Amino acid sequence: MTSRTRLWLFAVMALVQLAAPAGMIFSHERTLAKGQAFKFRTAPVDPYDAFRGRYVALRLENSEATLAEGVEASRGQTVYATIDAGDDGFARFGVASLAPPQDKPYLKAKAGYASGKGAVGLQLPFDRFYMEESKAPAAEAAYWAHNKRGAQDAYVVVRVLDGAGVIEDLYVGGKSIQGVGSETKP
Amino acid sequence: MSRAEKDMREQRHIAWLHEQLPGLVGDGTLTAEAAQSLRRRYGEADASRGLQAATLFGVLGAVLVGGGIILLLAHNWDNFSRTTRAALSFAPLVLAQALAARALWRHTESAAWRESAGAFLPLAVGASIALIAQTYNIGGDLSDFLLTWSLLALPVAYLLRATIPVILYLVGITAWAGAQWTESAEALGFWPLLALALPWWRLEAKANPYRPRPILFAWIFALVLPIGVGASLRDVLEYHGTWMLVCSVIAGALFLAGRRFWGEATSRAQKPLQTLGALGLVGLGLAFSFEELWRDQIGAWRGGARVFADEALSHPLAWAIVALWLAAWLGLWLDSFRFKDAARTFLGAMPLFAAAGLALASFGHPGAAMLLLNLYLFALGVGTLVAGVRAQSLATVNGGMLILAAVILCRFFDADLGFVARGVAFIVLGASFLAVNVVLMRKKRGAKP
Repeated sequence: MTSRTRLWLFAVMALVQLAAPAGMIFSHERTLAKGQAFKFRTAPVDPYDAFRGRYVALRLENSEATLAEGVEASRGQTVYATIDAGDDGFARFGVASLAPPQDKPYLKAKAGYASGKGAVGLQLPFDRFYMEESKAPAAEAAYWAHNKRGAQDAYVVVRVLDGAGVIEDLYVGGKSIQGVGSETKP
Repeated sequence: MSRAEKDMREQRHIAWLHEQLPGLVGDGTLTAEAAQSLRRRYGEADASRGLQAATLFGVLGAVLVGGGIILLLAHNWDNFSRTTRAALSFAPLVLAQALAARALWRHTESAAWRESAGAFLPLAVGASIALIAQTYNIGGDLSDFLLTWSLLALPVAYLLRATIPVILYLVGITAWAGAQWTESAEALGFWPLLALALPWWRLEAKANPYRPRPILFAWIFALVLPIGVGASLRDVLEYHGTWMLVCSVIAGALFLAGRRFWGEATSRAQKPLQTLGALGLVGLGLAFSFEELWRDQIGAWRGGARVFADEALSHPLAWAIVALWLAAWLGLWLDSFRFKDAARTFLGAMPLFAAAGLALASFGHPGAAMLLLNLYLFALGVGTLVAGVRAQSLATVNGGMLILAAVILCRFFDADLGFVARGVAFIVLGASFLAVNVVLMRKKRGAKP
């Protein structure tokens, strides 16, 4: 390997290594800036699984979509689910199909297990909300308190653009969880 | 004279020997083969202890600093804006790339520099992606992260000729394949990913396969391989008793390849493929020596070739990989006849016995299959023992004894066999043992003048 080819190869490697994180940042920033905001209600999380140290484990209350007519999705297959904002201000998934819909906001996800007739569970990428290490336990406790059956008033705001969704913030009792975490700290 | 001084002096002698060898070959004092075996025996002159310590400490330092950076970022500092986080995720990466560039152009000949920079860069890549995943609450499983990380780290191994990145890569792709176990079609990606690392091995082993770097690769390769096989070939392994054949073939190929390409290794540490392959073959043989396993295979292949063809067509890629391993094993096994080493060819033949056992069991004779594998293991143990006695190698004798002891122990506790059958078999075994012993003793006495 001549020193010239080595230089080129090194440059290509360095650029690819820089481009990978840069691309991740760019696509997520783009979704946050230009995406449409949806509120999703969260659901109680299995407490054994919930606390993982530095993030709050999340689960969306409604993560099922109706399958479009004549469509079958096997587990792991990529589907595109439309999002409808309900009258109560919270979003729900509408119809899942195998191609992205043209006229409605949608989320790209992998199909989970089929649940019941004509419906499919979605494997959503929203399963955690990262917090500062010291605040995560308090935030986790607040999230549980506001996610008890019958007293659910926790939700996430997700920005959605071209099938990609990025969590903007997590709200418990109407307030951003960032504040909840620091309030409980003396 | 202290030990370090002694080593230094020894290294100087070895360096002198290396200088002399071409001349000695040139004037006909030594043959080229003899010179090559001398090189192997004494190792490379540049692998002096001082340099090795510098490399190890450099790598350790780089790994600690890199790990520390990852932990610091994982604290997930609240008051950092997203811009600060973006800058932070690039800072260690750019620093690591600068160090790698310096190692590549200023310290090309320094293994310590190349290995340390090569260990640091992949960790910086990981820290960078992890911080971004935190910032944007990217969820889901670990596998995408592992795959991206591994692929970004691999070029470092080739460019810096560094070992740590390729080891990280092997572990990374195996963990990725393991995480894909629910989607076996995607886990098949393990094989092309594994193939990407093989040229590195070839490059490093070309000059001298006994150097520490290709040997370390071989150890990790042989250790991650079974996990990769289990994760990626699940559909095939679950098809009747195919796992028995596939596992034997892979262990056999590893063992034979080790004997073929690392045959002159002087220590156990230099024989990763032989050691792990042989352990695998004997372990599998012992597992197959129980009748219970074979009883599940009765009539398994009754469907014949047509049913099998349907199965093969439904998982063509997985079966193609199995066929490749089969071809590799068969080629190495046939090649082993050239060396007129009965023990090697016989141990390498284990897959044939597994296949015969499968055929017998499929036709309704699981007992015969069990008997065949027991006879094979017994013959293998005795053969190894005899070969060890002949070569005056205590390690080989003990190996043979161990195989025999394991077979005997397995049979003693085998509840499937009646007491009478076990009793008769034990007496026959014991008698033949004594007979072998007497023959060996007489031979030895006869050999003495």
